[in-house]
Amino acid sequence: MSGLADKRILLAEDEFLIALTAEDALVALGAVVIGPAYSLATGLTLAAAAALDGAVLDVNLNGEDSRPVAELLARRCVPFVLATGYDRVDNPYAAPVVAKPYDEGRIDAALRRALAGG
Amino acid sequence: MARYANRPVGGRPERVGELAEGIEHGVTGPVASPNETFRAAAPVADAERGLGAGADLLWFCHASPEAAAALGAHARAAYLDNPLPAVFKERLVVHLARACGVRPLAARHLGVLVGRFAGAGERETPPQAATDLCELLRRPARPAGRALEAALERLETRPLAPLDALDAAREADVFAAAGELVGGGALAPRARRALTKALAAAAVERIGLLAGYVRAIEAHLAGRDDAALERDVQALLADHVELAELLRAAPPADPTADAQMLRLALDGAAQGAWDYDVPADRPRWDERTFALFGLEPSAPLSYAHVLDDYVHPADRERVDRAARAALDPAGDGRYAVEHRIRRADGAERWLAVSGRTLFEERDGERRPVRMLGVARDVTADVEARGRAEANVERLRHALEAAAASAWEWTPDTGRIWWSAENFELFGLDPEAGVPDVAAWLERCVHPDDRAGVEADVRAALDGGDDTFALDYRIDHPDHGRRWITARGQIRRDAEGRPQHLRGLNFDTTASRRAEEALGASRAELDRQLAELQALYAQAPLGLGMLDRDLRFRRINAALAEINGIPAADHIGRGAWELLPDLQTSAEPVFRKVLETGEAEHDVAVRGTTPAQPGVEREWREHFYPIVATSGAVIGIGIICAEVTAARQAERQRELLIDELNHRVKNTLAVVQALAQQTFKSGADPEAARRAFDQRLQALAGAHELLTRANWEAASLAELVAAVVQGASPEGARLHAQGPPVTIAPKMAVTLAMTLNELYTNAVKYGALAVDDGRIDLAWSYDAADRVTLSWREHGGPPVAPPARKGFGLTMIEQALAREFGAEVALDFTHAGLVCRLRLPLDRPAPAPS
Repeated sequence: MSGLADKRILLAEDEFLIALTAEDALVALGAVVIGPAYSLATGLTLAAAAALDGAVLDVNLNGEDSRPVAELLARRCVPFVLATGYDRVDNPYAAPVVAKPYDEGRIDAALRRALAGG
Repeated sequence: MARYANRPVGGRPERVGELAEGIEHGVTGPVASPNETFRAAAPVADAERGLGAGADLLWFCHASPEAAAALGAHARAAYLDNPLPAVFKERLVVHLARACGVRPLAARHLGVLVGRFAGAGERETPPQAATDLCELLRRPARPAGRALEAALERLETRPLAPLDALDAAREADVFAAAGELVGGGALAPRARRALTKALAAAAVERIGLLAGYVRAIEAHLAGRDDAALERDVQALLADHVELAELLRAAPPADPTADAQMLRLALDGAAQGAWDYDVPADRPRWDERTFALFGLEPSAPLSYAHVLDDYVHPADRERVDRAARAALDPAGDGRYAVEHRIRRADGAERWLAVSGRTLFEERDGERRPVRMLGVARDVTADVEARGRAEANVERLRHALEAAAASAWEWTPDTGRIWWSAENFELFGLDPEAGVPDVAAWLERCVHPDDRAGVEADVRAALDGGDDTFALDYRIDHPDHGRRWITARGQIRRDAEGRPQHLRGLNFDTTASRRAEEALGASRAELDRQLAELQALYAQAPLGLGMLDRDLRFRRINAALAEINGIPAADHIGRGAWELLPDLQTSAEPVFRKVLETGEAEHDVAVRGTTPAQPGVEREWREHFYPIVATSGAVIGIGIICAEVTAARQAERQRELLIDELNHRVKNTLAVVQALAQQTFKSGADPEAARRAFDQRLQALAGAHELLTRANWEAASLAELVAAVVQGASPEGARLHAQGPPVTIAPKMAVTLAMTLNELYTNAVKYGALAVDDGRIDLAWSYDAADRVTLSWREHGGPPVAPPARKGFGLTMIEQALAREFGAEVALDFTHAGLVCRLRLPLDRPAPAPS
């Protein structure tokens, strides 16, 4: 079974359809989805307050850079992966990057790598 | 020249040659000023000019040029420059010449009076009628006795009219007195007093001067008979027989005239007179001659005494030899020596002594009886001549050094004098002599330049300038085509008529060729420079030049504009003083170029300049060394292209591509999600495929709309038309109404997807599933200025909330709500579905008018 079983994973994604599908994937992997956060504000709230084992962060949340969420997570030592459609991404925490469009397998691998500490 | 048209041509070429030689060696006589070396010949030339044919008389008197020059000087002072009225002066000369028995002189001045010969100086003498002259010649040459006394009485008692307005009788009185004076007769002292009474003292002095001159000529010509007259005088006398006869009737000169006469005559000429009685060995000197030797008039004299005691030892033998030659009965009796003496007071002086021996035939034997002569102190002349010689020598060196050759041309006589270098300059044979002007033009000047040279010479002579310049070509027999430049001065008389042209010739071929070459290359350089300057000014590139100290030496407008500092303010100022912000990035490159002498290309320089303070700009620059011919790097050339805008555009493009990539990938992710949601297990594959098609179309419709609007915003009405009303024929039954509302791209896409689900549902299960059904879609701003949409279906089958929430319903209920916080209310009423959407869209602020 997946190493993500019962892991509390924050999903920050501003596209409803993508979030819906990612949620389906994470649930299928046994994870508990926190969110999804469709905006930077929600993402920050959840990243600050929720009990988390990891996160999947879209780098752009409705036109806003999600970096503050990443900083918060890093401070809390919550591992995360970055999901993005951009080729180049500012990645100061060397988080695993999942290129959109992604599928269940790729998100699984990336998250597990993040949770394993790189 | 016309003034001398009646001058016998040809003159005495051999003497002219001597004279030229004399000029060349600077020994021709008194020099007006030591600084005017080339005027050494002035007295002779002046005498020649002034006397016209009279110059021949001077040559006639003496073989030696220096004696002629001395007599010439005398002639100038006593005759040429004598301001007595011209006609009076000429007539007086005739009369005095007759009184002294100097027929050639009388004849020559008769020639002047009849208008045949030129008179004194430049003054024209109006021709006189032969009858007037006959009257003059019929007067007694030396009236004596009662006639003379009566004339003197009249002079003593009656005032005289001006000398140029005398009637014949009064003139005869003056001439009688002058004749007594020149003849040294018993009444000479009274004659002088009478003249002094009748005339101004100055006029008497002038008459005395003229008398002295006539006596000097007499001394020089003594013994010469009419057969020795010059040809032109002979011709004159042949043409005027009556004058010739009257002249011949005049009493001959008394060869034994007292030395006293001579003394009186020579008073005005500053010459001493001497008279040597040969058989008695008794020299008789006048007071002036004694004075020349510094002796009292009572000093005893003899030939040996004079020679041994006063003639300078170094000159003694020469003087003795010349005297003996003059006394030789076989010779011509002429004596002319310039020698030093030791005066009684010990002073050393130079004397010019000339004389002539009178011989007497007795018993078939010819014996010298007397020597008559004059002596003059020429110390100043000799010294000046010495300086002149030194000057000539210096000039020679200067000429050699300058490769120049000197010349002098007297337009009136046509005579040219050349320094020897001219023969080599023109490639002429020195043996052939100096050509005259016509021959020189013909033989030396290039045919194409002759007219120009003649015109230039004419212009120089006629113009008022004192200098002139000629440039012409010659074809040298050895050296081919050469350019000659002549530069000189024109000496003019008081009326501005040119007397002499003196100057130098230079061969200027080399410098002219160099000049031509230089001119050609300079023109080419000028052209290239103009081209470069235009390029420099017009180039859309910044161009500049720095010296080794990194100071601007040159800058074009484009670079000045880039820097934001006027071009002129750059020059001479340091690069970092002007552009401190660029020092860090540019200075290392500059140093490298200066050190290596190699160009640095494509250097990216970033920074700010005063042109746009605070704006970081970027340039692509080339720095190249400016290398002197010595190979030294003397500066740095700058080529600068502003690339700020290009770099920005590039970055913009990169951003756009990045954004496009992101959008595509995001869209693919959406499509992927759509597919996953649509094809979830359990769905009817055919229905799922149709639904998927429908959803992709809605997505594509929204994208198309947004693309047309540059992904800035979409109009709600257009979105409805594209996604719903145009989706299928049933769409025509949807009635849309509302104010203009624009929606941002992301919301527009989600709204499109939501409307698509509502529409699909209506077509399958709602109002559009039956023929009469219709939909009203209305939107407006609510009280809170938020956009509310109401989807209201009419006339369809009865509806009820679905038992199971499919993807479509999830999409409608959650997509806008989750993404944007929209409020969504679905109401499955009996009449049909009602969906209310309250979107977080504010009414736009009224556009400023």
